Amino acid sequence: MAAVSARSSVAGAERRVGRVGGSGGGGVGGALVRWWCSPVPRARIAWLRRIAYAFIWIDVLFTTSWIRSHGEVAGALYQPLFIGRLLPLPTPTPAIRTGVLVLLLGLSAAGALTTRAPRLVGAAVAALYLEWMVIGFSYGKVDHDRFAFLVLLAVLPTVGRATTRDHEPDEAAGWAVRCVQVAAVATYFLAAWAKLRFGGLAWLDSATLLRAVLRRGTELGDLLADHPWTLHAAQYGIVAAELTSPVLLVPGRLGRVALGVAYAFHLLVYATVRIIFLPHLVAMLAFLPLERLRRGAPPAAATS
Amino acid sequence: MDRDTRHGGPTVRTLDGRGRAWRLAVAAAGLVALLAGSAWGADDHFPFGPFRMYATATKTTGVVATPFLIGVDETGREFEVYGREIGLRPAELEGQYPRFREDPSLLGALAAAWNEANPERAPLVELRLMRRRREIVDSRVVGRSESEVAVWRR
Repeated sequence: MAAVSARSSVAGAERRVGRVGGSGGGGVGGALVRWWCSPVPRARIAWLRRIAYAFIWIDVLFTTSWIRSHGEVAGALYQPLFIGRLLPLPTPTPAIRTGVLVLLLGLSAAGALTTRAPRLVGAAVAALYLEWMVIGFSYGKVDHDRFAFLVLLAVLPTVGRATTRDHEPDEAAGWAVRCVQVAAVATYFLAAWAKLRFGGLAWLDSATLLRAVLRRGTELGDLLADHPWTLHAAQYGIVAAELTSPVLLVPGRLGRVALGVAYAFHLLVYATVRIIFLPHLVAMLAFLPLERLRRGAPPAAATS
Repeated sequence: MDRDTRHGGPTVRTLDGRGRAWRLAVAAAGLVALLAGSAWGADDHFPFGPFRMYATATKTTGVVATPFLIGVDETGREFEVYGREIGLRPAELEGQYPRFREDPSLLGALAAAWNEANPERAPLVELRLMRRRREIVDSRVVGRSESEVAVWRR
């Protein structure tokens, strides 16, 4: 819990209010509650809304443009996910696909460009984007690059109206930001867990990265395939990085370095196998003091 | 929302008891679902399934197989049909190998999708799902070959 003790400036502000953590009680539980709701300026939520809702346009039109074609493919290839069977969501037809697409693009544009009805718009965008992903992942392949982004979309509507000028620290905004940060860390940490579960310790000495490079390799990837020891060593590095990913939650330099390492890792992966976790990278912006993007902003109280 | 400005520093908007309680309950429930998904779940449980990207341990000696599609149009021309042209990704072709084998007419649906997406080109009369194999021994590539998984003809 170094992350808690190091947030002294925030803790100072909290003490002035005098009732923060009141329902959390003392001890470890109380500290955890205070940590999860550490206030951040609402301006950060305003920036995250702009960026996330604008990114939906990029994601839908470019990075996952293959989803748009899924309404064209015969319904026979549709294998609904658990959530699709549970709700139950309809088998996508071209009409359903177009309807979801138009509503999603329209509402995310409204969410990115205005600050009106953020809860209603945000909740609708989150639901429509989830449905878009269900359409995308119900044809035999599920991607794992957007859990934190889905959490981001889910928590944005829990904060009221926010502007980039609003620098007052806010616990509701803090809770939302913390949820996204924890989701991002969980994505890494549980990826190590999954390797242990599905691959076992043998994963470390397997040919998994070599095979990935052979299947999808770029020129850089082919170069590494010619020197397989580099990929073997990278497997140890990846698991080590995933297991230490909670460092991302530590405020200050350590957390910033970890964030830099994470972004660099994703760029390197892209350079070798053309896979990039764009939605995840967008969600990880929640670690940055985005509220400082606006000039003339007062030094923010909470910036991690 | 409570505020306090007595000390002149930045004020803080706090959550009331109820607002705090439901938020913590939601966060806890989400974490439990995520941990359960990672421990016992599968891809089917999206978005709470395990983060199993490249999580299987593959042998350092064996075969690396990748699927690809070969189309033949009315003029007899043969060319590779890319998954993105028909809204399928390589892993989706691979994930459904058995279905394509049992029912090659599914390839016909893909051919129809390609024809629709390329109205200016001669329509496909044949679509072959192929498999490219590369053999590796002790993490070195030693050979390559191609084979047919399923074929559809008009």
